[in-house]
Amino acid sequence: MNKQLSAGRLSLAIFFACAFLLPVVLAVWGSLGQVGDVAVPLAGRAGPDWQNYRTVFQTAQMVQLTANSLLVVILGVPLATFVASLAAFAITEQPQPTKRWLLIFAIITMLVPPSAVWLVRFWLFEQIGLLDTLGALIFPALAGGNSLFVLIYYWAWSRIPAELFEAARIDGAPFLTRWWRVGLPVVRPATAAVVLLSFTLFWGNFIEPVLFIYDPNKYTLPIGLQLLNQLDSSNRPLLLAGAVIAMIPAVLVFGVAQRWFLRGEWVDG
Amino acid sequence: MKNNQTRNRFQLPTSLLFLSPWLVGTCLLVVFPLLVTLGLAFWGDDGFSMAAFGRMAQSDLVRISLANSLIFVLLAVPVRVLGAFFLALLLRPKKLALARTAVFLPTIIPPPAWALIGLWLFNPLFGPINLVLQGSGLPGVNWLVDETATQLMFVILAGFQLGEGFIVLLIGRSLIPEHLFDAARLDGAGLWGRFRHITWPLMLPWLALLTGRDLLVSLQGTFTPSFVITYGGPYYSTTFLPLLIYELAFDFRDSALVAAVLLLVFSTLIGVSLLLWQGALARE
Repeated sequence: MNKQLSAGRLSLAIFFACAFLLPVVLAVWGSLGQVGDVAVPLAGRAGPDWQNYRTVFQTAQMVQLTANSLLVVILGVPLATFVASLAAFAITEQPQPTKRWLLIFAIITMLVPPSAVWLVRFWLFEQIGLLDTLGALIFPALAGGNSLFVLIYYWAWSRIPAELFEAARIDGAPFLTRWWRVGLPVVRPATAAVVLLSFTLFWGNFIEPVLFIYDPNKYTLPIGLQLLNQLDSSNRPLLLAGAVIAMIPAVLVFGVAQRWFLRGEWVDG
Repeated sequence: MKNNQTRNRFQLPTSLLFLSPWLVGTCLLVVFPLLVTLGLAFWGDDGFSMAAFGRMAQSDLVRISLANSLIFVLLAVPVRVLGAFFLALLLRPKKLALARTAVFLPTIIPPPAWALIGLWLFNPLFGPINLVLQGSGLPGVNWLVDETATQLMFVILAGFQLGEGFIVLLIGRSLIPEHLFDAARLDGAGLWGRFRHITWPLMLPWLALLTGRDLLVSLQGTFTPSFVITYGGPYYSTTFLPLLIYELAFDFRDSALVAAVLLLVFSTLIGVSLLLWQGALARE
Protein backbone atom coordinates (compact mmCIF):
# COMPACT_ATOMS: atom_id res chain seq x y z
CA MET A 1 0.00 0.00 0.00
CA ASN A 2 1.22 3.45 -0.73
CA LYS A 3 -0.94 5.94 1.06
CA GLN A 4 -0.78 9.61 0.30
CA LEU A 5 0.19 11.89 3.17
CA SER A 6 -2.01 14.91 3.67
CA ALA A 7 -0.28 18.30 3.58
CA GLY A 8 -1.41 19.04 7.13
CA ARG A 9 0.07 15.85 8.53
CA LEU A 10 3.29 16.32 6.63
CA SER A 11 3.80 19.89 7.84
CA LEU A 12 3.00 18.94 11.44
CA ALA A 13 5.47 16.04 11.18
CA ILE A 14 8.17 18.34 9.87
CA PHE A 15 7.44 20.88 12.61
CA PHE A 16 7.78 18.33 15.42
CA ALA A 17 10.82 16.69 13.86
CA CYS A 18 12.56 20.06 13.80
CA ALA A 19 11.47 20.85 17.36
CA PHE A 20 12.96 17.60 18.68
CA LEU A 21 16.12 17.94 16.59
CA LEU A 22 16.78 21.52 17.66
CA PRO A 23 18.35 20.90 21.11
CA VAL A 24 20.58 18.20 19.65
CA VAL A 25 21.74 20.36 16.75
CA LEU A 26 22.36 23.30 19.09
CA ALA A 27 24.43 21.08 21.38
CA VAL A 28 26.64 19.94 18.52
CA TRP A 29 27.02 23.55 17.40
CA GLY A 30 27.89 24.69 20.90
CA SER A 31 30.50 21.94 21.29
CA LEU A 32 32.43 23.27 18.30
CA GLY A 33 32.88 26.74 19.78
CA GLN A 34 35.30 28.25 22.25
CA VAL A 35 34.88 29.46 25.82
CA GLY A 36 33.06 32.79 25.81
CA ASP A 37 31.49 32.34 22.37
CA VAL A 38 28.05 33.78 21.99
CA ALA A 39 25.91 30.70 21.88
CA VAL A 40 23.46 31.27 19.10
CA PRO A 41 24.14 30.33 15.49
CA LEU A 42 23.61 33.99 14.58
CA ALA A 43 27.09 34.86 15.75
CA GLY A 44 29.97 34.80 13.30
CA ARG A 45 32.56 32.15 13.92
CA ALA A 46 35.94 31.32 12.43
CA GLY A 47 34.97 27.71 11.81
CA PRO A 48 34.43 24.52 13.75
CA ASP A 49 36.91 24.05 16.54
CA TRP A 50 37.57 20.34 17.21
CA GLN A 51 39.93 21.09 20.07
CA ASN A 52 37.20 20.43 22.67
CA TYR A 53 36.87 16.82 21.55
CA ARG A 54 40.60 16.26 21.90
CA THR A 55 40.57 17.90 25.33
CA VAL A 56 37.73 15.69 26.57
CA PHE A 57 39.73 12.57 25.83
CA GLN A 58 42.86 13.97 27.45
CA THR A 59 40.92 14.71 30.65
CA ALA A 60 39.99 12.40 33.51
CA GLN A 61 40.68 9.02 31.86
CA MET A 62 37.76 9.50 29.51
CA VAL A 63 39.05 6.72 27.24
CA GLN A 64 38.96 4.27 30.14
CA LEU A 65 35.46 5.42 31.16
CA THR A 66 34.16 5.05 27.62
CA ALA A 67 35.61 1.53 27.47
CA ASN A 68 33.88 0.67 30.76
CA SER A 69 30.56 1.97 29.48
CA LEU A 70 30.96 -0.01 26.26
CA LEU A 71 31.66 -3.18 28.24
CA VAL A 72 28.51 -2.65 30.28
CA VAL A 73 26.27 -2.30 27.21
CA ILE A 74 27.99 -5.08 25.22
CA LEU A 75 27.23 -7.53 28.02
CA GLY A 76 24.09 -5.96 29.45
CA VAL A 77 21.97 -5.25 26.39
CA PRO A 78 22.07 -8.72 24.73
CA LEU A 79 21.63 -10.41 28.10
CA ALA A 80 18.62 -8.28 29.06
CA THR A 81 17.02 -8.78 25.64
CA PHE A 82 17.62 -12.53 25.80
CA VAL A 83 16.16 -12.93 29.30
CA ALA A 84 13.17 -10.65 28.60
CA SER A 85 12.23 -12.37 25.34
CA LEU A 86 12.55 -15.89 26.79
CA ALA A 87 10.37 -14.92 29.74
CA ALA A 88 7.76 -13.25 27.55
CA PHE A 89 7.62 -16.23 25.19
CA ALA A 90 7.13 -18.54 28.15
CA ILE A 91 4.33 -16.27 29.41
CA THR A 92 2.49 -16.40 26.08
CA GLU A 93 2.51 -20.21 26.34
CA GLN A 94 1.10 -20.38 29.87
CA PRO A 95 -2.50 -21.47 30.48
CA GLN A 96 -4.84 -18.69 31.58
CA PRO A 97 -4.71 -18.14 35.34
CA THR A 98 -0.91 -18.42 35.42
CA LYS A 99 -0.59 -16.07 32.49
CA ARG A 100 -2.72 -13.38 34.13
CA TRP A 101 -0.75 -13.55 37.40
CA LEU A 102 2.56 -13.30 35.58
CA LEU A 103 1.35 -10.22 33.70
CA ILE A 104 0.15 -8.60 36.93
CA PHE A 105 3.56 -9.37 38.46
CA ALA A 106 5.27 -7.74 35.46
CA ILE A 107 3.09 -4.63 35.67
CA ILE A 108 3.59 -4.19 39.42
CA THR A 109 7.35 -4.67 39.26
CA MET A 110 7.44 -2.20 36.38
CA LEU A 111 5.92 0.36 38.77
CA VAL A 112 8.50 -0.01 41.57
CA PRO A 113 10.46 3.25 41.95
CA PRO A 114 14.18 2.62 41.38
CA SER A 115 14.89 4.68 44.48
CA ALA A 116 13.04 2.02 46.52
CA VAL A 117 15.67 -0.60 45.72
CA TRP A 118 18.88 1.41 46.16
CA LEU A 119 19.52 0.66 49.82
CA VAL A 120 18.94 -3.08 49.67
CA ARG A 121 20.77 -3.52 46.36
CA PHE A 122 23.73 -1.78 47.94
CA TRP A 123 23.68 -4.30 50.78
CA LEU A 124 23.06 -7.20 48.39
CA PHE A 125 25.93 -6.28 46.08
CA GLU A 126 28.19 -5.91 49.11
CA GLN A 127 27.27 -9.45 50.24
CA ILE A 128 27.96 -11.08 46.87
CA GLY A 129 31.09 -9.05 46.18
CA LEU A 130 29.74 -7.02 43.28
CA LEU A 131 30.11 -3.67 45.01
CA ASP A 132 32.66 -1.46 43.25
CA THR A 133 32.73 -3.68 40.16
CA LEU A 134 31.11 -3.23 36.75
CA GLY A 135 29.19 -6.40 37.62
CA ALA A 136 26.90 -4.30 39.81
CA LEU A 137 25.84 -2.39 36.69
CA ILE A 138 25.44 -5.50 34.48
CA PHE A 139 23.74 -7.73 37.05
CA PRO A 140 20.20 -6.30 36.52
CA ALA A 141 20.38 -7.61 32.93
CA LEU A 142 20.09 -11.13 34.38
CA ALA A 143 16.61 -10.07 35.48
CA GLY A 144 15.74 -8.86 31.98
CA GLY A 145 16.65 -5.24 32.74
CA ASN A 146 13.11 -4.09 33.40
CA SER A 147 9.73 -5.80 33.40
CA LEU A 148 8.61 -3.32 30.73
CA PHE A 149 10.81 -5.20 28.25
CA VAL A 150 9.02 -8.46 29.03
CA LEU A 151 5.68 -6.71 28.51
CA ILE A 152 6.79 -5.23 25.16
CA TYR A 153 7.64 -8.73 23.90
CA TYR A 154 4.41 -10.11 25.32
CA TRP A 155 2.33 -7.45 23.56
CA ALA A 156 4.16 -8.07 20.30
CA TRP A 157 3.46 -11.81 20.45
CA SER A 158 -0.13 -11.30 21.51
CA ARG A 159 -0.93 -9.84 18.08
CA ILE A 160 0.34 -12.96 16.28
CA PRO A 161 -2.33 -15.63 15.65
CA ALA A 162 -1.91 -18.40 18.24
CA GLU A 163 -2.15 -21.09 15.53
CA LEU A 164 1.37 -20.24 14.41
CA PHE A 165 2.89 -21.35 17.72
CA GLU A 166 0.33 -24.11 18.19
CA ALA A 167 1.47 -25.73 14.93
CA ALA A 168 5.09 -25.71 16.01
CA ARG A 169 4.14 -27.16 19.36
CA ILE A 170 2.16 -29.97 17.79
CA ASP A 171 5.14 -30.74 15.60
CA GLY A 172 6.99 -31.37 18.85
CA ALA A 173 9.52 -28.57 18.46
CA PRO A 174 11.21 -27.93 21.82
CA PHE A 175 10.72 -24.61 23.60
CA LEU A 176 14.01 -23.03 22.58
CA THR A 177 13.47 -23.95 18.92
CA ARG A 178 9.95 -22.50 18.97
CA TRP A 179 11.27 -19.31 20.57
CA TRP A 180 14.19 -18.90 18.16
CA ARG A 181 12.68 -20.18 14.89
CA VAL A 182 9.00 -19.27 15.20
CA GLY A 183 8.69 -16.64 17.93
CA LEU A 184 11.58 -14.22 17.45
CA PRO A 185 11.40 -13.79 13.65
CA VAL A 186 7.83 -12.45 13.82
CA VAL A 187 8.57 -9.84 16.49
CA ARG A 188 11.70 -8.14 15.16
CA PRO A 189 10.27 -4.68 15.89
CA ALA A 190 9.90 -5.70 19.55
CA THR A 191 13.50 -6.91 19.63
CA ALA A 192 14.65 -3.64 18.14
CA ALA A 193 12.59 -1.66 20.66
CA VAL A 194 13.90 -3.66 23.61
CA VAL A 195 17.50 -3.42 22.39
CA LEU A 196 17.06 0.31 22.05
CA LEU A 197 15.35 0.89 25.40
CA SER A 198 17.77 -1.36 27.27
CA PHE A 199 20.70 0.34 25.55
CA THR A 200 19.28 3.67 26.74
CA LEU A 201 18.97 2.23 30.23
CA PHE A 202 22.49 0.76 30.48
CA TRP A 203 24.38 3.42 28.52
CA GLY A 204 22.80 6.35 30.33
CA ASN A 205 22.80 4.74 33.76
CA PHE A 206 23.98 7.49 36.09
CA ILE A 207 22.53 6.75 39.52
CA GLU A 208 23.84 3.23 39.93
CA PRO A 209 27.49 3.97 39.22
CA VAL A 210 27.18 6.92 41.63
CA LEU A 211 25.92 4.53 44.28
CA PHE A 212 27.92 1.38 43.64
CA ILE A 213 31.26 2.35 42.04
CA TYR A 214 34.10 4.08 43.93
CA ASP A 215 37.24 3.12 42.03
CA PRO A 216 37.86 5.90 39.46
CA ASN A 217 39.16 3.26 37.02
CA LYS A 218 35.74 1.66 36.99
CA TYR A 219 33.68 4.82 36.51
CA THR A 220 31.47 4.95 33.44
CA LEU A 221 30.97 7.68 30.86
CA PRO A 222 27.99 9.34 32.58
CA ILE A 223 30.13 9.78 35.70
CA GLY A 224 32.84 11.21 33.46
CA LEU A 225 30.44 13.89 32.28
CA GLN A 226 29.74 14.86 35.86
CA LEU A 227 33.49 14.95 36.56
CA LEU A 228 34.00 17.29 33.61
CA ASN A 229 31.30 19.51 35.06
CA GLN A 230 33.00 19.51 38.45
CA LEU A 231 36.45 20.19 36.99
CA ASP A 232 35.45 23.25 35.01
CA SER A 233 31.77 23.99 34.93
CA SER A 234 32.31 27.27 33.08
CA ASN A 235 33.83 25.58 30.02
CA ARG A 236 30.53 25.06 28.17
CA PRO A 237 31.97 23.95 24.82
CA LEU A 238 34.01 21.25 26.55
CA LEU A 239 30.98 19.98 28.50
CA LEU A 240 28.91 19.95 25.33
CA ALA A 241 31.64 18.04 23.52
CA GLY A 242 31.50 15.45 26.30
CA ALA A 243 27.74 15.29 25.98
CA VAL A 244 27.97 14.82 22.20
CA ILE A 245 30.56 12.05 22.62
CA ALA A 246 28.22 10.26 25.04
CA MET A 247 25.43 10.69 22.50
CA ILE A 248 27.20 9.23 19.45
CA PRO A 249 27.06 5.47 20.27
CA ALA A 250 23.40 5.86 21.22
CA VAL A 251 22.65 7.52 17.90
CA LEU A 252 24.50 4.74 16.02
CA VAL A 253 22.58 1.99 17.82
CA PHE A 254 19.38 3.86 17.21
CA GLY A 255 20.18 4.19 13.51
CA VAL A 256 20.46 0.41 13.21
CA ALA A 257 17.51 -0.45 15.46
CA GLN A 258 15.05 2.01 13.98
CA ARG A 259 15.27 0.32 10.57
CA TRP A 260 13.36 -2.51 12.16
CA PHE A 261 11.16 -1.10 14.81
CA LEU A 262 10.04 2.12 13.20
CA ARG A 263 9.41 0.53 9.80
CA GLY A 264 7.94 -2.77 10.88
CA GLU A 265 4.36 -3.75 11.30
CA TRP A 266 3.79 -1.16 14.01
CA VAL A 267 3.51 1.58 11.49
CA ASP A 268 0.92 2.27 8.89
CA GLY A 269 1.99 0.80 5.54
CA MET B 1 -9.39 -29.60 24.42
CA LYS B 2 -8.43 -32.39 26.77
CA ASN B 3 -5.41 -33.10 24.65
CA ASN B 4 -4.47 -29.44 24.86
CA GLN B 5 -4.69 -29.45 28.65
CA THR B 6 -2.41 -32.43 29.04
CA ARG B 7 0.10 -30.79 26.76
CA ASN B 8 0.02 -27.60 28.79
CA ARG B 9 0.54 -29.46 32.01
CA PHE B 10 3.36 -31.39 30.46
CA GLN B 11 4.98 -28.15 29.31
CA LEU B 12 4.67 -26.21 32.49
CA PRO B 13 8.06 -27.19 33.99
CA THR B 14 10.13 -26.38 30.88
CA SER B 15 8.49 -23.02 30.31
CA LEU B 16 8.91 -22.17 33.99
CA LEU B 17 12.59 -22.91 33.55
CA PHE B 18 12.81 -20.21 30.88
CA LEU B 19 10.75 -17.81 32.93
CA SER B 20 12.97 -18.23 35.95
CA PRO B 21 15.86 -15.84 35.17
CA TRP B 22 13.42 -12.95 34.90
CA LEU B 23 11.18 -14.16 37.72
CA VAL B 24 13.98 -14.95 40.17
CA GLY B 25 16.07 -11.96 39.15
CA THR B 26 13.16 -9.56 39.54
CA CYS B 27 12.26 -11.04 42.92
CA LEU B 28 15.87 -10.68 44.05
CA LEU B 29 16.56 -7.21 42.64
CA VAL B 30 13.13 -5.57 42.83
CA VAL B 31 10.57 -7.35 45.01
CA PHE B 32 12.90 -8.32 47.87
CA PRO B 33 14.55 -4.85 48.09
CA LEU B 34 11.13 -3.22 47.92
CA LEU B 35 9.69 -5.34 50.72
CA VAL B 36 12.74 -4.92 52.95
CA THR B 37 12.77 -1.17 52.36
CA LEU B 38 9.08 -0.84 53.12
CA GLY B 39 9.54 -2.98 56.22
CA LEU B 40 12.27 -0.66 57.49
CA ALA B 41 9.62 2.03 57.86
CA PHE B 42 8.33 0.16 60.91
CA TRP B 43 11.74 -0.52 62.41
CA GLY B 44 12.89 1.68 65.28
CA ASP B 45 15.71 1.38 67.81
CA ASP B 46 13.87 -1.30 69.73
CA GLY B 47 11.68 -3.25 67.35
CA PHE B 48 8.37 -2.18 65.88
CA SER B 49 7.90 1.57 65.75
CA MET B 50 5.84 4.10 63.86
CA ALA B 51 8.23 6.92 64.75
CA ALA B 52 9.43 7.35 61.16
CA PHE B 53 5.94 8.39 60.05
CA GLY B 54 5.88 11.06 62.75
CA ARG B 55 9.27 12.36 61.60
CA MET B 56 8.02 12.31 58.02
CA ALA B 57 4.94 14.37 58.90
CA GLN B 58 7.08 16.95 60.70
CA SER B 59 9.93 17.22 58.22
CA ASP B 60 9.86 20.42 56.17
CA LEU B 61 12.25 18.89 53.66
CA VAL B 62 9.92 15.98 53.01
CA ARG B 63 6.94 18.30 52.71
CA ILE B 64 8.74 20.60 50.26
CA SER B 65 9.98 17.76 48.08
CA LEU B 66 6.55 16.11 48.05
CA ALA B 67 5.01 19.40 46.95
CA ASN B 68 7.70 19.91 44.28
CA SER B 69 7.24 16.37 43.00
CA LEU B 70 3.48 16.74 42.87
CA ILE B 71 3.69 19.97 40.87
CA PHE B 72 6.27 18.38 38.59
CA VAL B 73 4.25 15.24 37.77
CA LEU B 74 1.04 17.22 37.35
CA LEU B 75 2.75 19.25 34.63
CA ALA B 76 5.17 16.73 33.12
CA VAL B 77 3.11 13.54 32.98
CA PRO B 78 0.17 14.92 30.93
CA VAL B 79 2.62 16.62 28.56
CA ARG B 80 4.66 13.45 28.12
CA VAL B 81 1.80 10.95 27.85
CA LEU B 82 -0.50 13.04 25.66
CA GLY B 83 2.47 14.29 23.66
CA ALA B 84 3.66 10.74 23.03
CA PHE B 85 0.10 9.72 22.11
CA PHE B 86 -0.33 12.60 19.67
CA LEU B 87 3.07 11.97 18.07
CA ALA B 88 2.50 8.21 17.85
CA LEU B 89 -0.74 8.80 15.95
CA LEU B 90 0.70 11.60 13.83
CA LEU B 91 3.89 9.78 12.84
CA ARG B 92 2.41 6.35 12.13
CA PRO B 93 2.62 6.53 8.33
CA LYS B 94 5.57 4.52 7.13
CA LYS B 95 7.06 7.37 5.14
CA LEU B 96 7.58 9.47 8.26
CA ALA B 97 10.53 7.34 9.49
CA LEU B 98 12.84 10.36 9.70
CA ALA B 99 10.39 12.30 11.86
CA ARG B 100 10.04 9.27 14.17
CA THR B 101 13.81 9.15 14.46
CA ALA B 102 13.96 12.84 15.32
CA VAL B 103 11.30 12.51 18.02
CA PHE B 104 13.16 9.62 19.64
CA LEU B 105 16.57 11.30 19.51
CA PRO B 106 16.42 13.35 22.77
CA THR B 107 15.37 10.20 24.66
CA ILE B 108 18.51 8.24 23.80
CA ILE B 109 20.83 11.00 25.02
CA PRO B 110 22.30 9.80 28.35
CA PRO B 111 20.71 11.73 31.25
CA PRO B 112 23.86 13.55 32.42
CA ALA B 113 24.56 14.64 28.83
CA TRP B 114 21.00 15.86 28.49
CA ALA B 115 21.33 17.71 31.81
CA LEU B 116 24.51 19.46 30.65
CA ILE B 117 22.88 20.38 27.34
CA GLY B 118 19.89 21.74 29.27
CA LEU B 119 22.15 23.70 31.62
CA TRP B 120 23.67 25.43 28.60
CA LEU B 121 20.43 25.95 26.64
CA PHE B 122 18.73 27.55 29.64
CA ASN B 123 21.66 29.58 30.94
CA PRO B 124 20.10 32.97 31.79
CA LEU B 125 23.11 35.01 30.66
CA PHE B 126 24.36 33.43 27.46
CA GLY B 127 22.11 30.40 26.79
CA PRO B 128 20.46 30.21 23.34
CA ILE B 129 16.93 30.28 24.77
CA ASN B 130 17.29 33.60 26.54
CA LEU B 131 19.27 35.08 23.66
CA VAL B 132 16.40 34.20 21.32
CA LEU B 133 13.82 35.55 23.79
CA GLN B 134 15.73 38.81 24.16
CA GLY B 135 16.47 38.98 20.45
CA SER B 136 12.74 38.94 19.75
CA GLY B 137 12.11 41.74 22.23
CA LEU B 138 10.79 39.55 25.06
CA PRO B 139 12.19 39.71 28.57
CA GLY B 140 14.63 36.92 29.42
CA VAL B 141 13.66 34.35 32.02
CA ASN B 142 15.76 33.79 35.15
CA TRP B 143 16.15 30.04 34.62
CA LEU B 144 18.23 28.39 37.38
CA VAL B 145 17.74 31.45 39.60
CA ASP B 146 14.00 31.85 39.85
CA GLU B 147 12.32 28.90 41.55
CA THR B 148 9.24 28.56 39.34
CA ALA B 149 11.27 29.06 36.16
CA THR B 150 13.70 26.34 37.22
CA GLN B 151 10.89 23.89 37.89
CA LEU B 152 9.44 24.75 34.49
CA MET B 153 12.86 24.08 32.97
CA PHE B 154 12.76 20.57 34.46
CA VAL B 155 9.33 20.00 32.92
CA ILE B 156 10.54 21.14 29.50
CA LEU B 157 13.65 18.93 29.70
CA ALA B 158 11.43 15.95 30.64
CA GLY B 159 8.93 16.79 27.90
CA PHE B 160 11.51 16.16 25.19
CA GLN B 161 12.36 12.70 26.52
CA LEU B 162 9.05 10.99 25.78
CA GLY B 163 10.48 8.25 23.52
CA GLU B 164 9.58 5.29 25.72
CA GLY B 165 5.89 6.22 25.78
CA PHE B 166 6.08 6.95 22.05
CA ILE B 167 7.24 3.37 21.35
CA VAL B 168 4.74 1.77 23.73
CA LEU B 169 1.86 3.71 22.15
CA LEU B 170 3.04 2.87 18.62
CA ILE B 171 2.79 -0.81 19.63
CA GLY B 172 -0.58 -0.24 21.30
CA ARG B 173 -2.02 1.51 18.27
CA SER B 174 -0.82 -1.29 15.99
CA LEU B 175 -2.79 -3.82 18.04
CA ILE B 176 -6.11 -2.21 17.02
CA PRO B 177 -7.42 -4.29 14.10
CA GLU B 178 -7.45 -2.22 10.89
CA HIS B 179 -10.87 -3.60 9.87
CA LEU B 180 -12.50 -1.52 12.62
CA PHE B 181 -11.27 1.62 10.90
CA ASP B 182 -12.24 0.33 7.47
CA ALA B 183 -15.78 -0.36 8.71
CA ALA B 184 -16.01 3.11 10.26
CA ARG B 185 -14.77 4.66 7.02
CA LEU B 186 -17.51 2.84 5.11
CA ASP B 187 -20.03 4.24 7.58
CA GLY B 188 -18.76 7.69 6.69
CA ALA B 189 -16.89 8.43 9.93
CA GLY B 190 -14.33 11.22 9.58
CA LEU B 191 -10.91 11.49 11.21
CA TRP B 192 -12.40 12.84 14.45
CA GLY B 193 -15.20 10.27 14.51
CA ARG B 194 -12.76 7.38 14.06
CA PHE B 195 -10.55 8.78 16.82
CA ARG B 196 -13.49 9.42 19.17
CA HIS B 197 -15.14 6.03 18.74
CA ILE B 198 -12.26 3.64 18.00
CA THR B 199 -8.77 4.92 18.78
CA TRP B 200 -9.55 6.73 22.05
CA PRO B 201 -11.61 4.02 23.80
CA LEU B 202 -9.32 1.20 22.67
CA MET B 203 -6.16 3.08 23.63
CA LEU B 204 -7.43 4.16 27.07
CA PRO B 205 -6.03 1.13 28.94
CA TRP B 206 -2.64 1.80 27.30
CA LEU B 207 -2.78 5.45 28.29
CA ALA B 208 -3.75 4.46 31.84
CA LEU B 209 -0.83 2.03 32.12
CA LEU B 210 1.58 4.50 30.61
CA THR B 211 0.39 7.28 32.93
CA GLY B 212 1.04 5.03 35.92
CA ARG B 213 4.52 4.21 34.67
CA ASP B 214 5.27 7.77 33.68
CA LEU B 215 4.49 9.08 37.17
CA LEU B 216 7.49 6.98 38.13
CA VAL B 217 9.74 7.44 35.09
CA SER B 218 9.38 11.21 34.81
CA LEU B 219 9.94 11.71 38.53
CA GLN B 220 12.94 9.38 38.54
CA GLY B 221 14.26 11.33 35.56
CA THR B 222 14.58 14.44 37.72
CA PHE B 223 17.38 12.79 39.71
CA THR B 224 20.19 13.34 37.25
CA PRO B 225 19.53 17.03 36.42
CA SER B 226 18.86 17.88 40.04
CA PHE B 227 22.01 16.00 41.11
CA VAL B 228 24.27 17.32 38.34
CA ILE B 229 23.11 20.86 37.62
CA THR B 230 21.04 22.31 40.46
CA TYR B 231 21.69 20.05 43.45
CA GLY B 232 18.15 20.64 44.62
CA GLY B 233 18.26 24.42 44.42
CA PRO B 234 17.51 27.26 44.13
CA TYR B 235 15.91 27.25 47.59
CA TYR B 236 15.05 23.53 47.42
CA SER B 237 12.82 24.16 44.39
CA THR B 238 14.29 21.17 42.51
CA THR B 239 14.57 18.86 45.51
CA PHE B 240 12.32 16.16 44.10
CA LEU B 241 11.69 12.81 45.75
CA PRO B 242 14.55 10.80 44.19
CA LEU B 243 17.15 13.37 45.30
CA LEU B 244 15.56 13.55 48.75
CA ILE B 245 15.68 9.77 49.07
CA TYR B 246 19.31 9.72 47.94
CA GLU B 247 20.24 12.31 50.56
CA LEU B 248 18.25 10.68 53.33
CA ALA B 249 19.65 7.25 52.52
CA PHE B 250 23.30 7.95 51.77
CA ASP B 251 24.04 11.26 53.51
CA PHE B 252 21.76 11.20 56.55
CA ARG B 253 21.65 7.36 56.76
CA ASP B 254 18.04 7.61 57.95
CA SER B 255 16.71 4.41 56.40
CA ALA B 256 13.48 4.40 58.40
CA LEU B 257 12.53 7.83 57.09
CA VAL B 258 13.50 6.78 53.54
CA ALA B 259 11.26 3.75 53.92
CA ALA B 260 8.35 5.81 55.22
CA VAL B 261 8.59 8.22 52.28
CA LEU B 262 8.85 5.33 49.80
CA LEU B 263 5.89 3.57 51.35
CA LEU B 264 3.84 6.71 50.79
CA VAL B 265 5.10 7.12 47.21
CA PHE B 266 4.74 3.49 46.15
CA SER B 267 1.25 3.08 47.60
CA THR B 268 0.20 6.31 45.86
CA LEU B 269 1.65 5.03 42.58
CA ILE B 270 -0.10 1.67 42.79
CA GLY B 271 -3.34 3.33 43.94
CA VAL B 272 -3.36 5.88 41.13
CA SER B 273 -2.46 3.21 38.55
CA LEU B 274 -5.29 0.96 39.76
CA LEU B 275 -7.78 3.85 39.64
CA LEU B 276 -6.67 4.82 36.13
CA TRP B 277 -6.81 1.21 34.99
CA GLN B 278 -10.31 0.74 36.47
CA GLY B 279 -11.45 3.98 34.88
CA ALA B 280 -10.07 2.96 31.50
CA LEU B 281 -11.72 -0.46 31.61
CA ALA B 282 -15.02 1.01 32.80
CA ARG B 283 -15.09 3.32 29.78
CA GLU B 284 -14.49 0.42 27.47
